[in-house]
Amino acid sequence: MSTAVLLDELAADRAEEGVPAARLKEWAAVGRRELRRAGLLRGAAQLGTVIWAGGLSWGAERGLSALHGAPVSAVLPPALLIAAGVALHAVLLAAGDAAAARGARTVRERLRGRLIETALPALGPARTDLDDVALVQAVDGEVGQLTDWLTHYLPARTTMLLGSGLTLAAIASRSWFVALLVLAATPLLPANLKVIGLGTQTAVRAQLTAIRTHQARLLDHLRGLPTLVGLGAHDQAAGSLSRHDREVAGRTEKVLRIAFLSTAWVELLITGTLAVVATYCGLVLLDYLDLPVVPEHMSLSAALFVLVLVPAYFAPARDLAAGYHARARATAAAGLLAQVLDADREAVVPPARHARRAAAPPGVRLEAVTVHHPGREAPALQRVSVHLAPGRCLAVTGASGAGKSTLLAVAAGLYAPQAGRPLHLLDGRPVPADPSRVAWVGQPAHLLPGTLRENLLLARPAANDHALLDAVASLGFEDLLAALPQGLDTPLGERGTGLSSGQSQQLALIRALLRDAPLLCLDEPTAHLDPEAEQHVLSALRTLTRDRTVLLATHSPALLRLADHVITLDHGRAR
Amino acid sequence: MNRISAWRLLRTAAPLRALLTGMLFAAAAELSGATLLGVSGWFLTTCAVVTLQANTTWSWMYPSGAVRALALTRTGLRYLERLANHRNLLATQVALRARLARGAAGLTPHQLRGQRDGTLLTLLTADVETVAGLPANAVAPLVAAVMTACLVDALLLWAMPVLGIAELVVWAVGLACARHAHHRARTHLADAADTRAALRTVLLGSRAAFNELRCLDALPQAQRTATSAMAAVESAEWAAARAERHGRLALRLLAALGQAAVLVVALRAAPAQPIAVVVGEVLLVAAGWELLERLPGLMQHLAQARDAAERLAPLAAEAHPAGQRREAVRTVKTDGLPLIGSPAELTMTVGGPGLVLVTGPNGSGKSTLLGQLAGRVPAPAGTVLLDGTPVHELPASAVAETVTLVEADDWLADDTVAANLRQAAPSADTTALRDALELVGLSALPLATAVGPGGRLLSQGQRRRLATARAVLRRPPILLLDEPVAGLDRPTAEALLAALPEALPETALVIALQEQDLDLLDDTPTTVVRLGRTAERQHNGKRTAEHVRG
Repeated sequence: MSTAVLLDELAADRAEEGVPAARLKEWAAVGRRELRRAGLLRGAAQLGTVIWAGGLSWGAERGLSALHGAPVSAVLPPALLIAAGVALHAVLLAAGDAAAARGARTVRERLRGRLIETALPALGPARTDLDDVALVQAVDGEVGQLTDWLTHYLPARTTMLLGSGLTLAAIASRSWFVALLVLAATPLLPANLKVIGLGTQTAVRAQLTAIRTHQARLLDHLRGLPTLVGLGAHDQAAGSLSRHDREVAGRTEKVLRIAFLSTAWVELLITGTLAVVATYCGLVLLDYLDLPVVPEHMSLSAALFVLVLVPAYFAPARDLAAGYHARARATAAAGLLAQVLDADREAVVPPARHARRAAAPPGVRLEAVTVHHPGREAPALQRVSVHLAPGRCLAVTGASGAGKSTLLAVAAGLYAPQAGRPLHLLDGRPVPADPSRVAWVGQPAHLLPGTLRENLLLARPAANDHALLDAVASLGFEDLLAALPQGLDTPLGERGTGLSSGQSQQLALIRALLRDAPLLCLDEPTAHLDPEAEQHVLSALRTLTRDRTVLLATHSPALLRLADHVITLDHGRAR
Repeated sequence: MNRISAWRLLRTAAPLRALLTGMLFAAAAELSGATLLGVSGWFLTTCAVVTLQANTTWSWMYPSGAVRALALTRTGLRYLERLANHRNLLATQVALRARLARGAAGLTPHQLRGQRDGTLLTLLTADVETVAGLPANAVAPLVAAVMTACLVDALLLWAMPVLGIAELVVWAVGLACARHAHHRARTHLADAADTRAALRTVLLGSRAAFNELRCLDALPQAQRTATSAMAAVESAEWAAARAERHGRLALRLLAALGQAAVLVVALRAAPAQPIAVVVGEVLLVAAGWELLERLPGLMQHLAQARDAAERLAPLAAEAHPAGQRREAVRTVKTDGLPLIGSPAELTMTVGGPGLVLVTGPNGSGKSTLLGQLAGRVPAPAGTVLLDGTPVHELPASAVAETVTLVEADDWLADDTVAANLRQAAPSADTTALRDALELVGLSALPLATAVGPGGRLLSQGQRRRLATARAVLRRPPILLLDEPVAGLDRPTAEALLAALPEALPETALVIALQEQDLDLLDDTPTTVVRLGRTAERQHNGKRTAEHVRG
């Protein structure tokens, strides 16, 4: 068990409240039915234990009567009952586990589906506040963190009520006094792994903070690793880090020493109750007990039956306590997931009627557009205004990070600016910018796994091979297909493996041509290409830009010659 | 890599005695638990038998005392076991982390860059925790379970050989079942890992090309691809979980067989065993099976620790050959290094006093070239040599003895200015630190200033100059500076560029400057590397990297 998580659950004894817990409940609702079934099945599995205990006590009784000359073969039915009890327990538990796994799978699938929709919204602007790594981590890692909470913690309460109830009823049916004893011990069971003693809560919290600080230091150290090693300062820094680590670990140990007392208390309670019941039963059997009210007679079978059921009575409560660990992990994951799922969701733009090939290319007008990327202090674009007449080509240049790509995305209607308006001019009439009018070629060109044909058909699903080959030829890319023996049937792996970066860029251009949109956005279409490939792309661009309005972000002087106008961006301002 | 390597990794950080103590406590606690159950059953039955036979010589005091003593012992042992194992876990974690953090210096600069933050943090926290938790979470319970099972069976063998052998057979079948289920689950988990990687690729790829996909209206299709990748992950994980469930079910059914067998065999044997002993035996066997039920989970832990150790192995590699300090000529040589966006190749030698100027427009590859010289960015094999050895084969710490690179936005520790400077010169006194700051025009910055996380409390220009001052204090044979004067006003920039060769007379300086900053330079550089001419002009003059010998 991770020490930090253990401390976490000790500190947060009321973690049930709060936003993450509420979100968790909401997400789990889809699998609620299966999870409740899992709880019931696991609780019912205690019935198997009761039957097992019955078989055992019956067998003992039969064995005892064998002392008086009864046939020994009489132990066969009890042995069968024992086996049947254990088997019933096993089967019901397995069924319960399967139900829990099904429920958890439903919840996970629904959550992952929602995350994918958030990451790749089919409509509306992209969520730029979303860090790609955090997103993948959420889909891959954090959703998985909920599994234990779903399969163990959620059904545990039902299991406890049903399972312990069944066991208690069985005990009471043979000896009401033992049932009373066991019931009296129950409230002493801490409902939570709370720390025994006053003031430890604060110590635990402080320790938790210390562990987090250490993690932050570790992360800072790792970020600086190339620099630290480069300066020869690494050994020293690693040394001071591990000194700090040791110090934190030392204090953690002291806190744990107290924390484990609560676990020890639960165990003492269970074994103690067992010992008391065993002694009581023994004395009753020996006829040594002579107390008012308390029953003085008991058969061996009844004594054995109640004795073996005492640990079974406490088992579900123990499982529940162990589940707090899963809950702490799920709560932490839920906090992160909620961040990804509901960071300021913008109103989704209603789907525009498909403005396919308009008669004439549109003009583009940006009015004092300002864009702030979340988490960055400086604006990505600051009051940038652009006016581009239909059919002309505007090149945007500037240092990396100056805001070129952002400007293109805003002009294409892919990104809603915080201030200002991006407009397209259709026959001189201003309408809001809309990506359905745009063909985009960026770096890296995105290729889905599948054949080359399937990738081209993304742009025009109805096209036949003839139209595809025409498009290839009109851009002068015949040699691309000539280089691939399987032609349009060439299989492409993840992210277009099997093609060079020049070839995949050519494919992206063919797609743009097939898309036949009147506004073309080219985001550094020749970056990272060797000169030969650049030449290739350049001559294709001459064809592609004809009769289209073009926005082009580039460093390349060769490409700049295609442009009618050039603007230079510097830290988000037009220069 | 195999299981031994996880154990061996552990042994480098934890003393055997501590590990043994933890195991001993765990085994003793489980044993006393099983004995408690067995003795209680025997005690009750004997009480009944004694009453029946009116045997007055039997004393109930001792067995009943034993029951209570066992209950207390078990609780105490459990507590001690937890303490011992967690003390181990914490100590091992600290030791392992320290060792692995040191081991990071043995990686090549390129690996180091590739392993940055996220991956390494996971390695040093989650994976180290898994390996360090091996004794507490897997080995100790395993030893306890196996030891209890062995003792219970030895007892049975002693009491009645047939019974012992029968139980042994059932246990052996159970073990085989657990192993089989574990192997099946592992195969499915390996599938799951592959499908996970595919899901990651699909998601990251689609996110990177979001604009293009959106314009193509292809996002629903990208969503479908991602969703089907996710479904593949789920079904692989489902198969793994099912294999585990079946394994557990088989173990529990075998437990039914095992317990019934004890009752039947013991009571139907020619001289039947006393009933009290039989009841005790059945309960002991039940306790043993309860422990064996944990086997699948423990095997899972072992496998996870094995995987974690495998991931940690590169960091745990034994001391790198940094000891052999090569006192040869400290030079970095490029031999036919291809340049980005250009057909030309760069061949030059950097070493000894002098100034190499790297220039070109934005995005022409200045930073990449500097990164390649320092080994942080991959270059084609054999094109960058440090004292004759390909730089990408050398551990980062060995490269650091010759080359110091100051990146454009270099890392600063979340500490004071002085502490950052002392990283390069641990023993430097305040005067030396002040001199270094003055050199870069930061004399007004007090040494005790905190720079904040990532240096964010300083301005960008201050960060850049602090990183430069730090590198100067190191007095490296070769110093690579990426645009050290970007964003500085003219007089400061000129002063800085003039002061550098004076402060480091023995050093080969390689400075990347933007074209508009070239006139800030007073001295004539020994070599000038010009990057990134236009595509057209590359066809006229084949070489873009001109060597101007001064």
